Amino acid sequence: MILTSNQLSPQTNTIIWIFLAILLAGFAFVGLVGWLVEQYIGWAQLRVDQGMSPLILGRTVTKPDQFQKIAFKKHHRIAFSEFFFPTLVLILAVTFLYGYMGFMNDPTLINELWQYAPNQEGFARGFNTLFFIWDWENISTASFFGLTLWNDFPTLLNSPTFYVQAWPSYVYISLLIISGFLYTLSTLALLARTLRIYTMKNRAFTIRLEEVSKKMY
Amino acid sequence: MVKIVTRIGLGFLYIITSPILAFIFGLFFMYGLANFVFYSFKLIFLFFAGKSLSSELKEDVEARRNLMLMSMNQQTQHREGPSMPKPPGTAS
Repeated sequence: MILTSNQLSPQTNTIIWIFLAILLAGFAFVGLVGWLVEQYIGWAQLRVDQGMSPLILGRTVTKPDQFQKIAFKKHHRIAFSEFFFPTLVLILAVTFLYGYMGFMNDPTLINELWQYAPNQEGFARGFNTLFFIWDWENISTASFFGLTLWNDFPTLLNSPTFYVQAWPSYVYISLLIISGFLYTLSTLALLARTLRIYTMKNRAFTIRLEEVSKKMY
Repeated sequence: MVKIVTRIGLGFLYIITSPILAFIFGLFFMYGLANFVFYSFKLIFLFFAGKSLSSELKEDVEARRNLMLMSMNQQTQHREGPSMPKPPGTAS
């Protein structure tokens, strides 16, 4: 059965419009992130062009297979240097955490890295103390056209609070986030360059008929 | 307006294909890590051999030399004018 907007109550109509607006905003946000990734991939691909164009202009590379071999050699060297820094940050983070736990004789810290609820002494030591935490698991729901949907805001469990005692968690998780972000960029660049090498492998040595005819006539 | 609608459509497409994209991303991440481990060991061997990863490839050196020769040839031709073919039988 198809329901028209006249048959629905104004409140239901509002809910549907809000739901659609949130959905579209979500798609637009993902599309924007996708655009940023596309721009970054385009920029990362330039390194293949920069590395290989002198070899083609200098007639050192004359065959697609030769192009692929040398391009991958350079590509792997660049990838190594790009993965070096995030790995260093990751090693630094892990060394910091285990070093702190060892020096301070505090092995329980590893279980409290995400804790936000204050303990008996009145403070929490997790990274989540810096964020709003809602109780999504126990949110009240209602049945709506056979669908189970939320019908209320979730209970607020934590408001952002800075605890000095939680500084090791802040440092450790921040380093992990930086490392993860850098790994993501490096992996995207790796993907971009691999695609560029396979695309340009044959194209760089192909003479297009349109260009030939432009030069001739 | 068309661009915004295209972006929203692409956003939907990215969400639908996100498991495949995440899988490809994961594969490349593993590839990058394997490459990093391999080059870390290679770097150690290169260090003891007195070389480094930042040294130029022999193809780069060759290309630079070729480009230099080509530009020198161009300059010489520009100065002397286009070289005329010598008539057959003339001593060089």
